[in-house]
Amino acid sequence: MIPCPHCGPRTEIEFVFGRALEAAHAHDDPAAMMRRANPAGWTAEVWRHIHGCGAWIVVERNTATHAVKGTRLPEVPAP
Amino acid sequence: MSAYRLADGGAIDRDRVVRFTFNGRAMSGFSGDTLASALLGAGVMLVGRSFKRHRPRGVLSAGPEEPNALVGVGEGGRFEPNTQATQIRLYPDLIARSQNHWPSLGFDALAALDAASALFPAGFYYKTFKSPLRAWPLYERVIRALAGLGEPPKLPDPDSYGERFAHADVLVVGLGPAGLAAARAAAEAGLRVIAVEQDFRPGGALLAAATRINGAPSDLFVDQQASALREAGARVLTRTTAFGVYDHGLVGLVERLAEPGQTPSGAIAQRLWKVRAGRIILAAGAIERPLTFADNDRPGVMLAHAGAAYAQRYAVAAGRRVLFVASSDADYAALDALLRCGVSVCAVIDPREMAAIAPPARVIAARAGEHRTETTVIGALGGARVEGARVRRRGVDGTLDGDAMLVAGGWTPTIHLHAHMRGALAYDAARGVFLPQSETDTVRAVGACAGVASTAQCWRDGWRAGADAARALGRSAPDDPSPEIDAPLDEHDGFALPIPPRGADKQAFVDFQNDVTMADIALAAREGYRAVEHLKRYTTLGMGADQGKTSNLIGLHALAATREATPGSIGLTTYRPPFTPVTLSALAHDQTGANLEPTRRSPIFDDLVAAGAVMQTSGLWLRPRYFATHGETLHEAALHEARAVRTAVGVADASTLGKIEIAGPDAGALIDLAYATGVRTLQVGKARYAVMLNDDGFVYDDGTIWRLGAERYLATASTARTAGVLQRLTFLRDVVAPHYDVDVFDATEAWAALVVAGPRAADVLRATLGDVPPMAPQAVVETPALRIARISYSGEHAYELYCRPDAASALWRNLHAAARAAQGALYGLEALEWLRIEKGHVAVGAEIDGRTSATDLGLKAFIKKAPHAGARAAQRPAFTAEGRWRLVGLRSAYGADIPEGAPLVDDAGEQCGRVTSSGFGVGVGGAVALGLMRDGPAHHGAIVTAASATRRRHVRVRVGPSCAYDPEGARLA
Repeated sequence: MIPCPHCGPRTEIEFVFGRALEAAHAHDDPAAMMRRANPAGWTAEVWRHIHGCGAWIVVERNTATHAVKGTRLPEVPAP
Repeated sequence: MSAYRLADGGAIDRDRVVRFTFNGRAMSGFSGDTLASALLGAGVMLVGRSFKRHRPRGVLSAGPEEPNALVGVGEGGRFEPNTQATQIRLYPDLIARSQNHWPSLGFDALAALDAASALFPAGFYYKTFKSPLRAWPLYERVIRALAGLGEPPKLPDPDSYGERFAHADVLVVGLGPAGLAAARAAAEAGLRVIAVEQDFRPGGALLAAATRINGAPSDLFVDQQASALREAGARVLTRTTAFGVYDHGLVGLVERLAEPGQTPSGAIAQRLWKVRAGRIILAAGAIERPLTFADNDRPGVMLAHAGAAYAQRYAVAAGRRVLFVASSDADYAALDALLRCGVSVCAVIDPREMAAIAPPARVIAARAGEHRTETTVIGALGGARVEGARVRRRGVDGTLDGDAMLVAGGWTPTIHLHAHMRGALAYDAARGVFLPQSETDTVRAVGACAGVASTAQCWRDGWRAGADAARALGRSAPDDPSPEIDAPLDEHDGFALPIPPRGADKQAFVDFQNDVTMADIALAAREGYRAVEHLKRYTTLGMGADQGKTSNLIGLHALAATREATPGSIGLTTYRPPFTPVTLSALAHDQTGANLEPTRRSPIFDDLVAAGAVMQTSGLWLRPRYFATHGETLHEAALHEARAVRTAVGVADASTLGKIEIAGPDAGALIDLAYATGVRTLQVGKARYAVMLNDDGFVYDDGTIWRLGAERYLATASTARTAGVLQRLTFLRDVVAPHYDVDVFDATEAWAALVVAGPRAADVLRATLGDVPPMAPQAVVETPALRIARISYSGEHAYELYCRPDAASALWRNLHAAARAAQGALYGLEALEWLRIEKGHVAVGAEIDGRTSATDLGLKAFIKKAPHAGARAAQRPAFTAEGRWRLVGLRSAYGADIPEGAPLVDDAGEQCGRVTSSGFGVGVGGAVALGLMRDGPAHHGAIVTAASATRRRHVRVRVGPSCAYDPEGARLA
């Protein structure tokens, strides 16, 4: 289950993975775009609630257990 | 009545005879039988031939671990190969046949392979068929003909399969004593409970034992528990297997409403359940292992507790003179059940000395013919059926007569579902098994699969788990009713480690299904395959339909013995779902054929069909390829349609185009970020062609942007790219620029889109809509019901008309009538392709293939200098390096059609590009194509060959500018 900030807790099949949050913020930096920390543990990713509100959200996920800690709306990146 | 069916007892209904056929022979069993028990009851011991060596095989087990008794059942589309006879509930008119033999089960010519088995040790084909290399195709043909088990069904499955989602506080897997207790405790506490049992009867090990509970046979107790569960609101699913546990408590169940090969009585044959469970209580029990002696695979050698199950539950004797081979005191419980059922046991064989055997076990054995202690079995006698045992006592060999051997080699806990969630396992050296070390987040193992040995303890362990689940959810846990369980030898540990298998006997089978012997394991170890995963892949130990349920642990012990290591230090192979085979039809359920994905239709689909449209798919959409009004071929129709557009007027449906509305104070800013083409200067009432790049800098899509108001835009996207463009726009808005105040809305289905193109387009528009003010190129007019833009894809004077879907049919018919009056025609995708190719317009999937930059496609003029998504990536050096394949136009030098997709080959014979799209240019009068060619624009005027090896066609083509027709755009003015 992934708690969508807009829609509440919804099953994972309603969502689609986008990319790691760090890669999302580096979307226009070709050098950084392909770099991944790829941790075995907690990481932040952007997912889209494609079969729900359609919004992109930040999902805190554990790559080792697939546990989801929480979600939030993306913040304005620092300039 | 056959000599093998016992006179009384068993949970079968002797008044209900069930007729079936096996290999064409008419037979009968009783309601309550499995196919295996019915065959055994009818005296059929030989049921199949083994995979590699074609050795005769019989029923080994009474459950889902069965490696031998694999049969094909059913007929036609319902035929199902490799089905375990132990798992099929007997039904009327069942048709079963044995596998892997020729010409017949009794006489199998390929059994010669067994005599030649020295030629086929583990990994033989890696070694044997290496040279000469060119002979491999021949080897492969022969090997493939011999390989494989069972035949796939040749007809489509006629049955329907269902899918259901469910939620549960507690899912209990397995309804033996531990599972029944867990489910009851949880259900009585008021939790939502789903309890599943793969058998068609709950009870588990109780069904095979002479256990009495509360002073009555355990059957009665089991039935009481099952009804108490249902009364407490639990969902009890029998004949249902939990085949896999996945993240977040997701469990896959398959419920078999019809047996394999059976015509379903209801709407569906099987149901796939996807259960989200808060907790999973795993009470899957344990599986008995065979013993490893020479010819231990002879039909008639059976697991001891399977023999007890056939006697107790089905009233079937495995043989008339049974040899019982025990390893520990607990095994004598099975002997007790056999003797109580009236099975004639002529000898009990035990490797231990009499003093080491528990007195109650000795008392039971005294009821059998004789008790041979300090005796080990070193081989089985007989061929198609066991005829006796070779035994050794204190170094002296002898033989014992018998027609069945029931062997007890210790128990392996069924920990698969615990391991699916990567639950930790610990090796119990004293008992030689792996046990769940701790609970995972969701799975708690109880009872025999957690190493709990006795029936009474299993009940208590299960109850505790159910009660704990209740307390964890804030419910008060009910008290354990503590049933009085009277099971012989219940206090003795059935997991006691038997003598570890040793030796390198090539007739001593470990994995029956894959014909892996002790010799194969020794060979693998000798050749360096000493890791357990290597052992598995080199010998195929633990592969196949049974996935080594009876063999993996024996193989691990044998491997450990070759290395003087412990199984704990070597570890197990990875457990993966499914626990038992699941038919693909169940996994696909109703998502097949037309239900596989939705079909999207234009709002005027019926009008298109009525006008003779021949449809083609475009993503999920159906779009007209051409209109066959008078039975024209594709080429004839496209020629007629394209000519109409060039010379008079054409009308087309473009409703599948993506239409994305972008509105809000920052709409312009978002478009500026998302598109590489500048739109800041775009005025209200104007449209502009625009290019979108991907983050990697390559072209992603192209379309038009219409400015409808100060803060209101419409962006069109290619049919196949609409979802992706929407994804990109929302990503940029939500993640990259969340401070923008802008809405993005997919309005694709809110508008129908019709196109009028050709020199007489303005006349048709006026004839249809009345007075339309003259529109300059790129002009946009908006009324509440209609949006019109003067934009062109065909290279002619053209309009795109957007209207409400329910008004589209009338508009389409009026436009069609007006076009006909102007000598025009309807046109489809094929004609549109021809038109855009000679005009040099690129398309997604052909030229825009994710590897072409804006410069490659000749779109540099549409790329702004200001920052936009993908801009920095597009500045990487490779984007401007020499030698890139770039867009060119191709004309057929001598008139022949240009093969689409063909490589372009220069006169030196080197490939220099490829044809991306090809058609007939009605404007230029000849075959035209677009292609990508190395430094293409530098080679205008050159002649190269479009060489299609697959179509065996070589066509000389002249390279030129991409736009062959009206390059000045005079016709658009």
